[in-house]
Amino acid sequence: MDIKEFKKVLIANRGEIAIRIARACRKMGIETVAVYSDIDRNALHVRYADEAYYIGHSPAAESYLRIDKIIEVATKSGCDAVHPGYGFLSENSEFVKACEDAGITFIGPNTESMYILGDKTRARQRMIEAGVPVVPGTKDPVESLEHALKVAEEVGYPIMFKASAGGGGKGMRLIHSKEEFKEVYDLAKGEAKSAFGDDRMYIEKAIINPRHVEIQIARDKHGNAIHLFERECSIQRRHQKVIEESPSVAINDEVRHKMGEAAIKAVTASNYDSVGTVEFLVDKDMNFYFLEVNTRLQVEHPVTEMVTGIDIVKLQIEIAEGKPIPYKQEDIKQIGHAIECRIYAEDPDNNFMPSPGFINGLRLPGGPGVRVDSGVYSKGEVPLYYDPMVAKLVVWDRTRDDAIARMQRALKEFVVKGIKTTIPLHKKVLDNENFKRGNISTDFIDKEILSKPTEEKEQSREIVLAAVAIKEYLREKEISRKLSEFKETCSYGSPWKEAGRRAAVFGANFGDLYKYST
Amino acid sequence: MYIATLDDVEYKIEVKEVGNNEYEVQINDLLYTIDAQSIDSSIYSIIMDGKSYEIDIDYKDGMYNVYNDGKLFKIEIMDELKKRMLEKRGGSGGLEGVYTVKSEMPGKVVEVKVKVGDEIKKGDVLLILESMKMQNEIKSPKDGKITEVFINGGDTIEAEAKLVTIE
Repeated sequence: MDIKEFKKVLIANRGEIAIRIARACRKMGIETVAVYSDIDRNALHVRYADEAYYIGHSPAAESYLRIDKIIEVATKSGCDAVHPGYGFLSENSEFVKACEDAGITFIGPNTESMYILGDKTRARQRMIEAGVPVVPGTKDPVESLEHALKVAEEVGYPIMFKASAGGGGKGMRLIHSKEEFKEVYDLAKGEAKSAFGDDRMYIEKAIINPRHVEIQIARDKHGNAIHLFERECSIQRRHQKVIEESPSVAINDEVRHKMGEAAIKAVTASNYDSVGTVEFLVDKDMNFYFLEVNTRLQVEHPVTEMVTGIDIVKLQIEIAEGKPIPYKQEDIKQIGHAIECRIYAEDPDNNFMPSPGFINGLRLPGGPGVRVDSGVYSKGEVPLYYDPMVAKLVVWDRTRDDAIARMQRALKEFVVKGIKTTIPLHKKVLDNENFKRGNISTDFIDKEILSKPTEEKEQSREIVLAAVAIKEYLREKEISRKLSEFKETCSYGSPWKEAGRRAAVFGANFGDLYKYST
Repeated sequence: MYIATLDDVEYKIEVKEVGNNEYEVQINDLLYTIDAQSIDSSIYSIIMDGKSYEIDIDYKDGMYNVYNDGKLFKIEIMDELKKRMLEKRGGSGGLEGVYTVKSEMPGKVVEVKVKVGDEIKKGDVLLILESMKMQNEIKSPKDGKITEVFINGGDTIEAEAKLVTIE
């Protein structure tokens, strides 16, 4: 196995992750090449990198997803390797192939393991063969009610009766007993037929109040594999992770160890050779079931970095260089507790509407144990073309309680003006008693946060009313000052014309002007 | 004298400037002495009874969106005189009569679901707007008839762009 030393790496991404990767490269003495679209000319990742090249128009399909352009830049600028980050081309085997053809190392797994693990059905089959627990059931459609009842009996109630053509939470029904199944069998098939034009259904064991727990792994080209413990990612919205932490309070050390072993088994079975994440569902009895493998760097990798002290991006680059993992499993310790809040440019008070636009004020939190990975800056634009995540706020402390307290104070310090962000949502989650006790599941935000009114602190009503009244008072004062200034300088002609002119000049409305001109 | 409306409750508020950035604010019957500093266009530092608050105020279409410690308060505030005049005239505009729906965000119009002449109900989807990789349903805020459609599928629009007019 040849060992290479990368001199220059192209980062085929943007935003916070492009900067995170460039930071690792800079630390390792590797030069960085950024690529950018029209709207990203002024973006931070462009300014951070040693070299930067334009690759196309703002929509991702015309820039960050253009394999040909990116390979062309990598070749012309003399890069040894390309780091894809997450999203965009990170799990695109065509891109991996194009890198190989151009003689450039793709920083990620080999194409074959990406092929096996990238597809849920293939991956599930491989896991069953490797002895990794999967959610009991079958993806094969049931043929009749009798057949369905038989499968359900084998899997054990409660079960999920799912439409083959469904997905994303649609077209599934929770069934608790044989009697209930008999009743709703035809109904469920009919629903699937009308919703998807396809009434094929399959059966899976229902995991009640499941928690999403994933294991960070690393495996090198020499067959050495380690796991870096778990991340708890149950706090989600629309199947999108919102808060992650490590360790998870859902599992004990014995289960933690078993899950780590299973994750290593899972990636070894596909000859994986990079850092990656094995996702599991965990039920209330700590049974865990394989979900899928993410064959890339994860958004939430910093929580693992905080508790293990290992630079995962650096490790990923070293593995791509062909170097062996410099740690043994027993060297890796999970110390303290880390939490990450993903800050999205969405308005939590208006049904999470995306809120792209210009940031006209920014104050980042700091102090002990706080890390902010972000690609935004004051006066910068959050474009509407890409992912709405603007920053990851990560804290570490000795215990979970301390980490929660630290996150609460960090969220309070975080100010973003000009666009709406999900900071208020995070405050509500961190203040929630069930979150503090660790009673969380994947439906936590819908059940505990969005359906409950928020508590108000004493006097907060009086404060906001007073603040608004003062603001209104000052606004009127400013209008009347401008008006008198205006009257002194150029007051003539018809009063209607004059009012129109004033309105145009001051952007004030007729009502305001009427009030002060009479 | 101002009339402020918060959660359908009216508050009478009197503001008196008593010094440099110092105000006496009377809300209904209670009097508060407040030191208010405008930090930038929308952030106010308020000190009241020695307690320090950072209040974030956005003004949009006659409505103040105020954040205090992450919680949003929607406040309408008006000079008493103006308020009474508007009441005499019958309502302060809003959703009554002809109403033009504007976009709250920039984005790309994926599909327009209505056309001129359509009778629609509150909550009906008017169009689908894609922004930040997500498709968002823009719903009608009121019952009525579509009298004008300003956009077409495929258009890229800015925030505040006119979408449709409902009568």
